[in-house]
Amino acid sequence: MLAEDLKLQAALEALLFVSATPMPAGELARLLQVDTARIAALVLQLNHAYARGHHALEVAEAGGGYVLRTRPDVAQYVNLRREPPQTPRLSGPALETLAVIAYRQPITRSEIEVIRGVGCESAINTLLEHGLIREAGRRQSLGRPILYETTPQFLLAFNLRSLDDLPPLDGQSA
Amino acid sequence: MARGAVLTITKLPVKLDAFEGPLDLLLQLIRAQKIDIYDIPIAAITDQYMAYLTAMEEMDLEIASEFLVMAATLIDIKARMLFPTLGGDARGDEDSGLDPREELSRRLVEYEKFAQAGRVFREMAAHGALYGYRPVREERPITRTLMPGQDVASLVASMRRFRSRLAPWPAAEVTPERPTMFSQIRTWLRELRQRGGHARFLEVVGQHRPKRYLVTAFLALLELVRLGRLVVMQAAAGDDILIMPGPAWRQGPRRPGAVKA
Repeated sequence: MLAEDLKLQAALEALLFVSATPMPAGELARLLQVDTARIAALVLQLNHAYARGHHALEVAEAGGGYVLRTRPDVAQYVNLRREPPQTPRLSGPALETLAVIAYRQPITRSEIEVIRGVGCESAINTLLEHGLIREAGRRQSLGRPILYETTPQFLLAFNLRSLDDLPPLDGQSA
Repeated sequence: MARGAVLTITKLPVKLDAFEGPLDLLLQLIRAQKIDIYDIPIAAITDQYMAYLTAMEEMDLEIASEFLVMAATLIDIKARMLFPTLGGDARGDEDSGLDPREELSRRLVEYEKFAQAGRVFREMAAHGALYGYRPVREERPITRTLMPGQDVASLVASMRRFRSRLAPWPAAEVTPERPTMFSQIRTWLRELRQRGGHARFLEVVGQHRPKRYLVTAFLALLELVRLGRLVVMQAAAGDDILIMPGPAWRQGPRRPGAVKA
C-alpha cells in the first residue's frame, strides 16, 4: 500500500472521527481532494484495517453519509456508558406513526390520524422529542397545518442509508 | 348471529381496552374470522362492532370518540347497502356505481400496512440500537473574541461602574390589611370623631375594599350600635348607611378591656 494511500486513509479516519453526524461522500471527496469513487475505496480499506486489527469500529453508510460507529458485538459495553439511549424504546403507536410519516412524508397530523384511525398528538410529540421527526413547513390548505418529515437522526437510529432504503410497504411500492 | 356466538367466534382477547382505535378493532374482527377485506359483510361486522362497544361500556371502559365515529360510519355504510338508490349526496357523486364499503376496505388495508410497518420498524430500531455513534454535541468553536483588547479585569471594572450608577430600586412597602374587629372599631371611632359623629358607611370605608374588610367594618359598626355608641339608618335597601352618634356617644368604655374612645 502506497504511503500516500495510507495517509489518505488516516485523513479519512480523522475526518470521520471528529464528525458527530454522517458526512456525505461528496463532502469527504471535496475535503480530501479526491473523487467519490476513491472515498468509497478508502472506506473499504479502512474497514479492512479495522477488521484485521480487531477493532470495535466500522465505517458505515447510514444517515445520508459515512459515519464511524461501534460494531453490534460490543453493544453491551457501549450501553454501560450511554446516558440517554440513542435509540429510544418506542411504543407501538409511536412506531406506527413514525412509519406513516416515513413513507408518506411530508404529512400533517390530521392526515396521519385518518390513516391510523386514532389521535396522534402524543405520538408526534414523543417522536419530536426524540429527534426522529421534525416540522417541515405547512400545507397550503385550510388552516395551514404543520407538515412533518423524518430527520437524519431517524436514518441513523434505523440504520438506513437514505429514505430509499426503507423496506417496501407490504410488498407494494411505498 | 346471536350476541353470545359473536364473542365466541371471534375469540378476541378479553382485554377490551387493547384496541388501538376502531380500525384496529375492525381489522381484528375481520382477520379472526378470515373475512375477505374487500367483501366485508357489513351487517354482521356492524353488529359485532357494536357488541364490543357495548361490552366496553358495560366494563366501564372509556370509549374514545373515534370509536363512535366509526360506529356511525358502519351504520351509514349498512344503510347504503340496504338502500342502494339512496346513494348520491350533496356533492352530486354518482354513488350508485360505487361500493359503499370501498372506502372502508381501503382504509383497513392501509391501516394494516402501517401496523405491519410499525412492527418492522421495531425490529429495525432494535438492531439500530446496537451501533454506537459519537454523541452529537453542539459544536460552536469560539473563533474570535467579541471585543478585542478586553480582559476579565476590565470587564469587572465596567460592571462595578455600571452598578454604582444604578439608583437603588424604590422599595414599596406593602402592608397587609389586618381588619380585626378591634382595629376596625378604633378606626370607626376615630373617623367619626373627626366628622362630628356623622358619616356614611361607604364614605368612610371606601368603595374598593376587599370583602373581608367590608364585612369586618360592618360588624364593627354593628358592635358599636349594640354598645349604644352609634345609631345607623338606611333609607332603602341598598342605599348607603347613615351613621349618627348614639346615646352612649360621649361615654368612655363601658367595660374594662373595651375600646377606649
